[in-house]
Amino acid sequence: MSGCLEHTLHYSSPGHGDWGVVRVGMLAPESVQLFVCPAACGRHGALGAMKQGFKNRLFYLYVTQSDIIEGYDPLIPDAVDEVLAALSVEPRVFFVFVSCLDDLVGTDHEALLALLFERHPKIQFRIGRMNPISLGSKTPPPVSIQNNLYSLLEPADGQDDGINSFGNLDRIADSSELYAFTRACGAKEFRHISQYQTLAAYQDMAKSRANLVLLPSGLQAARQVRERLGIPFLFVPITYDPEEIAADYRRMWEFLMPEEEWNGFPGLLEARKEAEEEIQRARERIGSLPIIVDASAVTQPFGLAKMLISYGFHVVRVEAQECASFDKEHLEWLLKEHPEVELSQPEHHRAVLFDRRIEESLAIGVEGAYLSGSRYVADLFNDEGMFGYDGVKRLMRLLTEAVKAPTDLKALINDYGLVI
Amino acid sequence: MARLSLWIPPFSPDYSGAAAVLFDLKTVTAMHDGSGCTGNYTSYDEPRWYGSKAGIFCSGLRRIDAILGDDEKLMKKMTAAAADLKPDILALIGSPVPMVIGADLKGIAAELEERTGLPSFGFDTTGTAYYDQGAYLAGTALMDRFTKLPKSGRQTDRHQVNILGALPMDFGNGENVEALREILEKNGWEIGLTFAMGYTLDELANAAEADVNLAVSRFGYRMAVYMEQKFDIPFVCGFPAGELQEKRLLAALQKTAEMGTSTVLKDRCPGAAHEKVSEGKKETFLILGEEVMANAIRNVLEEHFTGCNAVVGCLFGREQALARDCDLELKTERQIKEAMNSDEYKTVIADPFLEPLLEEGSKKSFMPLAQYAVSSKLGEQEAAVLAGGRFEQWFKKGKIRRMKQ
Repeated sequence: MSGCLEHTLHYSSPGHGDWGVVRVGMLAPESVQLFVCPAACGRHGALGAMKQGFKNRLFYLYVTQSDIIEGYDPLIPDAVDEVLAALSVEPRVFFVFVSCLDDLVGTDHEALLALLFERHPKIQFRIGRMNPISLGSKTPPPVSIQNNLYSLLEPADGQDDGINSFGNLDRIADSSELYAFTRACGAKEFRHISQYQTLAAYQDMAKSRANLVLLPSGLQAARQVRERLGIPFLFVPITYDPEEIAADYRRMWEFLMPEEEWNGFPGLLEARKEAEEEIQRARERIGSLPIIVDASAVTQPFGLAKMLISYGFHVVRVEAQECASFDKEHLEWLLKEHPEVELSQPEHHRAVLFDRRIEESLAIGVEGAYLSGSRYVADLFNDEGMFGYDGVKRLMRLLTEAVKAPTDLKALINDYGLVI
Repeated sequence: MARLSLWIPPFSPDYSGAAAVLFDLKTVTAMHDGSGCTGNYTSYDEPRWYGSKAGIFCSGLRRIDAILGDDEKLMKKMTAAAADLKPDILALIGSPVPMVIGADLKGIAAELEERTGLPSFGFDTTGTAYYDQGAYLAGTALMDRFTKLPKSGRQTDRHQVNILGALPMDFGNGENVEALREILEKNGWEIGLTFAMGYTLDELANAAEADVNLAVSRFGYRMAVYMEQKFDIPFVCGFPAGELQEKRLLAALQKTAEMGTSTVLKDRCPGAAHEKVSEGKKETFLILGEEVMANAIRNVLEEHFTGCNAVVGCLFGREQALARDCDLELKTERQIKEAMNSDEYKTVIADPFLEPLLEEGSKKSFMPLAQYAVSSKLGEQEAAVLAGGRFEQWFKKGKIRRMKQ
């Protein structure tokens, strides 16, 4: 493996993409979105929303070249009025989304928000940004949309014992021992934005005493919430390595229960044992079948590769465009201990050559599967619902299921409704 | 608010049209954007993308590059890709940000050509126009560069025809184009260039050898006019939907090839109708979509229903030469909605994504006919092959559905 990550033209495979800002923004209860942009900018978001069933909350104001030159700010308040007039139920949250070009034309968002609030004082207005030209900056679209979501939380009257999960777009699966763990830490509720249907109910998250940030795109929002609402946070990136999971639980305990000595939380040992048994079963079933680990499936692809190799799986390739800082240690381990494992960038221009096919392989993640032509695909995207030993068990079952029959990858990708 | 869209998704933009024209060639093409514009094209405007090796990439434009006008970074990425992929052509496709910063894509292309020796193009697409305009920009630039003047005068005995205007935004996965090719070949026509689905650089180079061009879309019509002016090749504009229209179009092709006079098949066909409908039950249709295909559908409906009144609603622009006086240019969702709900039409034929624009309780019939430029792969179930007798099969399937009664 060479650790050299190159900046090239970007190949965009059919397996490339994620939720997109529209779908993430739709997590805000009672919200609608108005995109103010050239028509082209909205096409993928609109079609993705139709696929996901959100289009009735998504609207567009197409701007022309003249509007861009003259400034389109004055058009927005009337467009907002017209959207509101067309809705049978008034939303509580209204996102006005702008696109890349807005970064360059100097729209006065503050003045716009003030005017909108004056006209519609019962509605929370936010400026959303669908501006991939900001990728690589501190606040790219996946981060700014999470900042927006949590900016809707207002100071609460009092604090309760609840704990929030931040960053993860899907709620952690009910089967995870994380729920029992947080209960052991005194939390009656382990909260996630997706469980709320109204803006009023969503305010419960402002009462929580702590935030666990499980995906990095929620980190900036957690910092802002700490500043604004005084809720402390701990970053616990999702991992599948039992050793790291054990350490993470200890870290969480020390964060959540600073006065209490770490007691090992009785359920964890059993959960780890079960996870390791599941790993063993998967290892026996999968044998020496080559495995491709893809960053579309997990936040720490190098970490997962390390874990799988450590347990005897035959990992041959990691597909990752870049390496997150918290995954770097794993990359370095792979470079040192297993240089034979290939590092491939799915967006590299050479990807289009398709000259590294390994058809008889198991891919964890659809983009890696597409590029390698893998016969078997573990259907996992963005660590959805995974955490802790339960995440390990579920991942191992996914791998075991995946090798039972070849995957219809095209159908799988279409079902995802990915947005770039 | 004129440009407010409450339901319809944005239609395929100009940069997707330009990219689709380049798809078949061995290129290194960069869509100059952050990622979303390329994503529009690869995910929702290009049904051929899955499984292809087309060299169409995203430049990975970042804010700092846009502010500083750092073209060198783009050129380095292009030359690195060219060194690895050995393309025949380099191309840059514009998007809203290059439009705003005034990026000189043609100038960058000239510099790339200087550095690599490869024919290089810059297309000033902006994301504020529809796919056919971007396709036309790319199509004419490619022909200007590669299409050779015919070696000798036209040879009408060869019977060679180019199909112009085949784009996935109008023809989806291309089944309709294949059916058209079969009809032409079965009737003795040799097909030169099929522009731009399934063609080679050689075919493009020799496109001026054709006796006649067949324009099957608005993009095709504009290319046909361009080729008529540049290469003196006459054209027929139309699509053979239905058995009688197939005969009409083949006859028109033959006549045009012989006489050299271009023809647009937009007028009412003098042929008799199959089904007579009594007075007072006159069928009235509104056909929404791309103009040439909508004209073809109107022509065949007029053959089937005596006294039928059909109006074409152009969603992507109304080309005067292709339109009857009654035809509509529908630029906004509001205009489309008003037309669909007008008392003048009993049946609306349109992409299924437009169906929700019919008012609650509407008594109209709606006949779904998916167009990729509107509903992309989400509408594929409602796509249809209309060439030749396949139109009648589609029409008789009874896909008309009554609305919200």
